[in-house]
Amino acid sequence: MKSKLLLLLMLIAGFTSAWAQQKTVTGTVTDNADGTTLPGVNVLIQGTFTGTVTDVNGFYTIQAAPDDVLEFSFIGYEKQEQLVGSQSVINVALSPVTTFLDEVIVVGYGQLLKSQVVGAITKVDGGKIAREPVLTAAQALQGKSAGVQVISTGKPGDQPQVRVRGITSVTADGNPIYVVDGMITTDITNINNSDIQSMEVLKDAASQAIYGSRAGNGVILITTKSGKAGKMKVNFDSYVGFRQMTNKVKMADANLYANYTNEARAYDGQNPLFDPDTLKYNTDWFDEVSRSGLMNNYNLSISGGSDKITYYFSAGYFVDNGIIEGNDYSRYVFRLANDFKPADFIKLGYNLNINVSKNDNKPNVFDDAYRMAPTAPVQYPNGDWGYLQALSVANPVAQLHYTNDIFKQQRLLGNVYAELKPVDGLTLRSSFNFDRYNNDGTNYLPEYFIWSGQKNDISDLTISTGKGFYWIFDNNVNYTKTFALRHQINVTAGYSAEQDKYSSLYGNVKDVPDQSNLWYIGQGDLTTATSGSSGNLYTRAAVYGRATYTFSSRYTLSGSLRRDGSSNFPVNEKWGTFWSAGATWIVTQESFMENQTFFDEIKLRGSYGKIGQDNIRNLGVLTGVTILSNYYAFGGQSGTPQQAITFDQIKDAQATWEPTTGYDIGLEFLILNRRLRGDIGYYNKLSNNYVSITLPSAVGDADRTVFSQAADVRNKGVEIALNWNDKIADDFTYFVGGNITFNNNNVESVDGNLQLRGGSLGNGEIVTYTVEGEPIGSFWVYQTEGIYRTQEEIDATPHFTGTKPGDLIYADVNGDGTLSELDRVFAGSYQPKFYYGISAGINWKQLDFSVDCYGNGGNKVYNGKKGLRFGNDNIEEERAANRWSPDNPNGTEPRASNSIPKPSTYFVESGSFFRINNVTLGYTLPLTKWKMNSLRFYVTAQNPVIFTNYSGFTPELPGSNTSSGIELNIYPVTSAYLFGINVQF
Amino acid sequence: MKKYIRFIIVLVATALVMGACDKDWLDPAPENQLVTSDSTFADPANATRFVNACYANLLTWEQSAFSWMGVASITSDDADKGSDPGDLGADKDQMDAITYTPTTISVTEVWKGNFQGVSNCNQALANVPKFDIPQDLKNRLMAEAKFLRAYYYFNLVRTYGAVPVLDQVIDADNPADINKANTRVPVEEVYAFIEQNLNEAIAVLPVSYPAPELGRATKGAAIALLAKVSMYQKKWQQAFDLTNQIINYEVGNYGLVPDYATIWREVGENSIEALFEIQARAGIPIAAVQQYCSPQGIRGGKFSFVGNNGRDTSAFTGWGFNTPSLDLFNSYEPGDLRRKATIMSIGDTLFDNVIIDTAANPRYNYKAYVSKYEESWTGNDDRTNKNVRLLRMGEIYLINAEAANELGNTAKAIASLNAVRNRAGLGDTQAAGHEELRQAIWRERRFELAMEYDRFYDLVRQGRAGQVLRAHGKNFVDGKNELFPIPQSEIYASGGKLTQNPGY
Repeated sequence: MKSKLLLLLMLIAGFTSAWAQQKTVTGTVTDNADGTTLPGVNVLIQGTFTGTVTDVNGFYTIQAAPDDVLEFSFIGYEKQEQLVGSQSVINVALSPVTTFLDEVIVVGYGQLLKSQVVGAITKVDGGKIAREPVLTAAQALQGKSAGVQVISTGKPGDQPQVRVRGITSVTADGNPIYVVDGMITTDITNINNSDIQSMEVLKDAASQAIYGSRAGNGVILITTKSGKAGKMKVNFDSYVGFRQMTNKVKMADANLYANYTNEARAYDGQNPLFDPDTLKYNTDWFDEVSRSGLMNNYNLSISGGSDKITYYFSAGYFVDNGIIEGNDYSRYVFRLANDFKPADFIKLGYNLNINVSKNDNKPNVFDDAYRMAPTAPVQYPNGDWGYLQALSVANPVAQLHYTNDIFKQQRLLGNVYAELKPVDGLTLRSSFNFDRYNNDGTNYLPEYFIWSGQKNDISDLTISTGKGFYWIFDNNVNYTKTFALRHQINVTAGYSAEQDKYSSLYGNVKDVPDQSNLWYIGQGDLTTATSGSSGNLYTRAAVYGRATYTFSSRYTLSGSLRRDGSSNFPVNEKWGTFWSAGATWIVTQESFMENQTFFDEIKLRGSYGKIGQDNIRNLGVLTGVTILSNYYAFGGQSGTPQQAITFDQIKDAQATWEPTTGYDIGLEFLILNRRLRGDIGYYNKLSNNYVSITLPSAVGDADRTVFSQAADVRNKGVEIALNWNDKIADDFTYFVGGNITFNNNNVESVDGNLQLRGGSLGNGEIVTYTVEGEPIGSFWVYQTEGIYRTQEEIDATPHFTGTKPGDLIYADVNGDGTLSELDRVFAGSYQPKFYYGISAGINWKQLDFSVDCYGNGGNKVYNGKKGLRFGNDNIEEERAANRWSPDNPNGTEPRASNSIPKPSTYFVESGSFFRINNVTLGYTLPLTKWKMNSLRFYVTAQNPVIFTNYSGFTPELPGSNTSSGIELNIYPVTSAYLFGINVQF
Repeated sequence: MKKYIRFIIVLVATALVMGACDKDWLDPAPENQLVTSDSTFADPANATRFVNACYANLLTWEQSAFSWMGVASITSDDADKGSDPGDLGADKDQMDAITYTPTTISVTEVWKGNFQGVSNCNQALANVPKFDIPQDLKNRLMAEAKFLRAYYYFNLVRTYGAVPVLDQVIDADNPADINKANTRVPVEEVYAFIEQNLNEAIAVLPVSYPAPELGRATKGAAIALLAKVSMYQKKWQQAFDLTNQIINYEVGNYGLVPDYATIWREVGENSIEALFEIQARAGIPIAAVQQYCSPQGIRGGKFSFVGNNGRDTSAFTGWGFNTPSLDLFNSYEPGDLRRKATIMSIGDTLFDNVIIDTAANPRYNYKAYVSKYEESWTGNDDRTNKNVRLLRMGEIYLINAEAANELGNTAKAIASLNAVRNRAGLGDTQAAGHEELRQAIWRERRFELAMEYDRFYDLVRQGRAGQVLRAHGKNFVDGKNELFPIPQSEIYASGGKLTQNPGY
């Protein structure tokens, strides 16, 4: 009661603002540099939401009181303030600046000037994101920010993996969270890139700490466009083109394959399978399963507003037909955003993103196309599908033909908010953010028979639906005030509550006709119907605060604190506290810097903080009774199967947040006449991670694992980003920019007898081992030293039983005379030593040209598919043509063989690559005719060329943290060639 | 009024925003999961469900499917790997050649399956007493759990030798318990533990159950298992006495069914021959062994139907593993009805009038065949109706014969042996004398229990595994391969405390 009274009093006190007489104030705003009038300049009465905008002649009219201060602001110009006083005409001249330290940066729950930001944040302009013809903003981010490694995927509708400053966790997901206008999500495939105003990557603890609990892997803020007061703006974008495989690995043709296979079988004492002289077919399976996929995109946005209401509407349609036959993805996105100012101290608004997508899924048949025999046709002349009985591989074209897997999603993401400014400098904001989705999927497998190894005896239909609703209710208070002209404070405090609930339901029935209008459960044999449902619920609560103090626009101190609770963890372990502290120093504001001209602006920053992760799911329930999936059929044929229950899940009673602690120091500068800007930083962070400890089977845990905090991982590195902008003439500007990140990932300690082996190849062999002193998921394989050429050579050295001439030589590294696991060596890891992006562009008269590149260096990949043999599979041409054989004793490749090789350095290749991500050439028509502001045509090539030494399909191989970089499931990198048009009204 | 509007709006907003804070916000009830709470122990039906979990483990992939087939059958001279020559089935080539290592999958899964079963039994024994149910029911339920625990340990001791003996639930946070889970106990003590469990079960288990509970462990089942365990330990008097009890109808109406061929067919489920079977039922809910039959199904087969004049028919097919060996096929005595009932060859007409025209391998396990026409068939190859017969009278008679012979009771030995032979369409045995009779009984075991996952262990206990299997071309090393290696992943998980078997 007492506190409420106090609050009341405070509010009343705040209302003693002058209600004195208002008058009309007018004026003209011009550009200081050249005197031209500036339309669209915001004129705001400071401390309120009341304002107006200069018209096409730079002229404005506003009602203001003599005490009011008018703020004039416009992008690209220094803000100016003018006290109304006794004047009725106030003319203002704004000075243009390349915004650097005055640039507004969106930080968690607020905005700060770049000069005040103590953490490492990279801002990427929305225009750069929209320029890339890709599905997600995460993919477009590749190469544009230091410290961000993006590992692409070729599959339509998929989001790439993103790593911010290295991998911190061993078991949990390594991807950062995306905060889209306040809503936290991990899936941004529903965001239309053209709707993005800017993206900020929060890279260190100081910037992330205010998101404390989910920020362990980094936070990417996405701010979407909203309407602005002024004339209505219409924007239309469209592009069309096609996609194809960038490069494919050459496989042996039918003749070479037949000879190789016969030879391999002879070693095992089996009869030859083929007669190379009478082969009838020579199928290139990659050609048969792939196609050029069509891509097109249409986007329309309309925005505008008055001083009371602003609006933004956009609609987009995106189609991406992947390179696998029949694999299509399409998406509609609508966006609506409005804000209203019913009074000058209150603002209401909402943002709504509606996404409807459809995914025509096809299995990834590139694996089967790689292994399938070229001697078998796709189809025989009589229509039967081709197959080879001795090879357990499905006919991939038939697989595509018989797959019907359609997935549809409707998703609603948005927020509703209210902001109040009761007193000068104080803003209260309350928002309800939500993410609601509905899925439905239909998966139908018809009855078919190719041979006993590829058949389906009875048709099978599965219909599934899922839905989720994730909401965040957030309330915060922001107070900004400048005291005595030199001390500025900025305080944010708030609390939030979240709930994430999802559920799914499926029904399966057999014997349904092969007609898509009959794919319903009722059309099948109901005695075979099964169904199931599942769901999950997570809740979180948090309290957070940040305080920033700036002295004389030169020194800033900032600290943040956040206390988070999650339902994920057991009782007594639910809460975690996360914090950070940092400082910046704007060196160029000092008096000793006044007389130099080399440095235009310099900022030094440093910070230290702690953040956490709760991505290890479901540790909250200590021991739940498990209902076994098997019932037991007591009572014979006429009995009823009975349910069985037991306890078979052991959870770590101390499970709680995975913390990451680290520090960051950096230098940001603008030099050489404001043409070169740069950002150099150093970071060092340590994460205490959960790993799954393997329990002995005797303990009775069904999956034999329990999570326990048992491994520490350190990431440290240097980031350098440089950008050069210049002009040669008034109509000829160019830019060159690049960033490079050196990251060192090291496992600092692993508890006791943990065997963090991973990277299973699916044939019993593993290839990675995470130990102290090596990066996560380092390759741990046998060392090869060439091939044996004679039996004597074999007998002279330790070897595996059954080694014949032509086999790989494995080194006996520890010299004990036998080959065992102790002879495995660490052969590098998928974590790159450095990754970099380069971009450059020219604007000359009406032409614009730009290039974006990205590359990785110093990492290794494991060519897993090359070593996966199940017997009689196809083989890469280079390996087959150069194989050792008694007729070819100088062969450089191992002999023909059907046995499974040991994991070795033979399969470890360099994963370094350099790729041109985007090349665009555009032409903007002069604006004299029609009512358009601009009309631009362009051609774009996406991923046209990749330079790499890797012999496989792609050196970008996403995977779990301990199994990345292993090429097992092939999905080739694709290139796209597009033509587009851009119209603005 | 205008003055106060600001006021009011702000007040209301503030009030709304200082919303109620729910103390239980972070403790929602977990979705779709039963929690340990009074609700579990309040429902008396759950007591039975805990014991049902001991049985349900018999249906899992690790316990009864491909890996068990690799360890117990493909290793023997009765069966070959099967399938196509290049198709390794992950490691079945190693099982066939006896070149497996501690990292071999089959070896790892058999350990895991059986220990999971032991754990389920321990959970049942720990939790059943907590229920409010009649003492009789509690005793019976616990006896069932002990029987199954003994069965799982019998598999473990035959396969791996000395293993950790867990007589209660392991608490993962208690170092003493973890130590127990990592300490191998000598073979004699494991057998003593098995016998103790079985004796306690025998005292309590009923002779039979009401119809809806058919399939639960009976007194006869426990006695049968104890007899087999006794045979393995060469406790001949005990084996003889126990098998006599069963043969003499003292614990139920058990006997040999007249037609051997029907034993493994659906008509032969739970017959008088059966002492204990893994109950399986195709359909919904899932209550059948995962992929027992499909790995052994006919591979690449083309069929026709009697009277259909060569027109294409469909029949149960599968991956084609665990094929009966040529050696087994050729070793039957002339006139032995069991050959045709155990092995189906190309060209044969099966009991449901299906003719095998061609297939990838010459012979397949008839006992794993499921008829689409004359037996229950839901279209799901992977979960068929086939019960797995674990203990039956054919074996009881042979245990009786062997025990009698070792005790010097030749007459009884010959009588029991002949009972089995006569049922198989053969004449009385011509063997006389202790040694000849022993060899005859051992031979008879091979044909009576062919393709029933008994041969490898039988050869090892008889002491002639090396001699027989090496003659068959396998790499059996005496002193090493009588036992399978302890899985390497288990040794790692134990932190190196579990020791490996010699030779691996």
